[in-house]
Amino acid sequence: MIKLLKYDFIYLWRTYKFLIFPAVAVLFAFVSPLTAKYINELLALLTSTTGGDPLITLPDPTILDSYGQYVSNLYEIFLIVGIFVSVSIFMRDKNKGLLPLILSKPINRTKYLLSKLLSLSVVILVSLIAGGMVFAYSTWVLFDSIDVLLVIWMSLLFLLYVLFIFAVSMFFSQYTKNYAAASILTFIVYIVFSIFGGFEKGILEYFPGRITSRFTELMFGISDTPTLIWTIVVTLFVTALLFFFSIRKFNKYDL
Amino acid sequence: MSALTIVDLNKSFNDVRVIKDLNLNIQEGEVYGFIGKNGAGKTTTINLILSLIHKDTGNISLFGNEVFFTEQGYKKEIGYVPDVPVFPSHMNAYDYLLFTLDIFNNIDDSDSRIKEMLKFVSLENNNKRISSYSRGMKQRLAIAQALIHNPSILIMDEPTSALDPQGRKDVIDIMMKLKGQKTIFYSTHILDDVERVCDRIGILHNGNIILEDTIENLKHEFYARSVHIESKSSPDVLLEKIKQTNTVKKLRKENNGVTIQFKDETRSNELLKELIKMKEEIVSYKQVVPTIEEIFLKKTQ
Repeated sequence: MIKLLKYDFIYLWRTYKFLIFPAVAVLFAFVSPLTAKYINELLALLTSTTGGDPLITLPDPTILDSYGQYVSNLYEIFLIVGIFVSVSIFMRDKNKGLLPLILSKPINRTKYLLSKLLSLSVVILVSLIAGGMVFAYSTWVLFDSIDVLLVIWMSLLFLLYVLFIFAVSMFFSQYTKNYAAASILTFIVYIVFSIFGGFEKGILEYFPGRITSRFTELMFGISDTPTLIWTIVVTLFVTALLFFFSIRKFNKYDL
Repeated sequence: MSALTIVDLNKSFNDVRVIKDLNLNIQEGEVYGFIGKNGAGKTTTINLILSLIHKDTGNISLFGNEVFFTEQGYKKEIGYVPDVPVFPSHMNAYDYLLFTLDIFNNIDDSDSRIKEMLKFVSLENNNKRISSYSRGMKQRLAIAQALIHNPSILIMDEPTSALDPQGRKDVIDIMMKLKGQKTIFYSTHILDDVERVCDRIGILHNGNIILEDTIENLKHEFYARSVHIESKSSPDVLLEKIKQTNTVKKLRKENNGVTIQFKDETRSNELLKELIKMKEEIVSYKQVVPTIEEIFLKKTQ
């Protein structure tokens, strides 16, 4: 497994993917508190350059706006980049014809697939740690306070959601034959689960799409611990199920 | 000792049987030419040996141990050279060989081993990424990665089919160097190469071996039955006279004479006597040495 991880990390490093994710996370971590702090000034500047009346005036920004801005950037932009990159990583060897030579060696197929997942997850973890630190510092400088525990929760919940999305992309990478189909289907699932995030009935309340809601509840201090735990458990279960079927499919796959 | 044994192997794709009760036995140290037309099932057989695809029924054994899809350990004994090798574009030859050695748990003294292999395939002093290599260079690297862990058997799947004449010669030269040191399972449809390097061949046709023997025996078998005769008469006259002797199975005009195939080898003296009786002045009587290509075409058409 370590050998395969080395192989995957060399790929991530030499194709700059290992740098792109942390760079994007740090950029969001830096820009999000700034945007939150100076949103009214930005709107005023925009209005003065267009010469019209102020369209909207927002209340004075608080630290919660900073959290909200960062989270929405992560879930909307960072995650979409993650979908396309993860599909390309899961499908690369298969699509480029690298698999026969690799699997002619004593390599366990399950470990081969898990290595790709693990290397990608490490990149995301590094990105979130770097992003979280920059975000905490920027927010503290601009808003004079920071809840470090909340930043950690925010990062962990996002990591969980990313894992779920990776599980979906791995699943479609095994069950479809090309990059475009796997990317589109993963993106559709991402959209569907985002919509599910608006439902609060039955099991849907604990589905992966509700993770953003759980974070919002934490942010406003109205979190319900059992609901939070169940959301984590259901997300982990769905994620594990998708990994299981992906690995099973890959082990049955005839090259 | 048997290096590779295949017993009653079967494989179907979408209800089409591609491999049909295939049986093979390759001895340690021999170079076995696995020849067949495109679509005969050569690559499928190799993919089954390497567990790249699942077999339907049958057994594959390597050095006496049965091969199972879920167990990867036996692959330490195998070096595999595909027809069109594809390498990760972000690596150079040294990186890839290091990765390969690492996979085989063979990283002691890796630097000298890698340099030795790169020299063996004439790729030393090359730090470029593999994506910039020519096909011939990639094929030589494929051989290096197949040999780097010192496997007992080398499985080569049409390694010269996509190469230009120089690239093909390079690969054959490498195989000649390896002959006698490794067991080589050499799949190809380029039959000139087979005659140069193989000890024994098996002709695969529609998923089954239809002919298998040493090159020497095969040539002898086909050689003994055919002769080319030239006389002072025209080929047409000679052909008619030969027909009258009733000793031959097939005959055709060829190169100012007639090439014939006897009903059986013992009839050759009889034919000569008959022709002399008919006052035919024979100027040339040569046994025809068939090429492997001729034998192959004869058996598969």
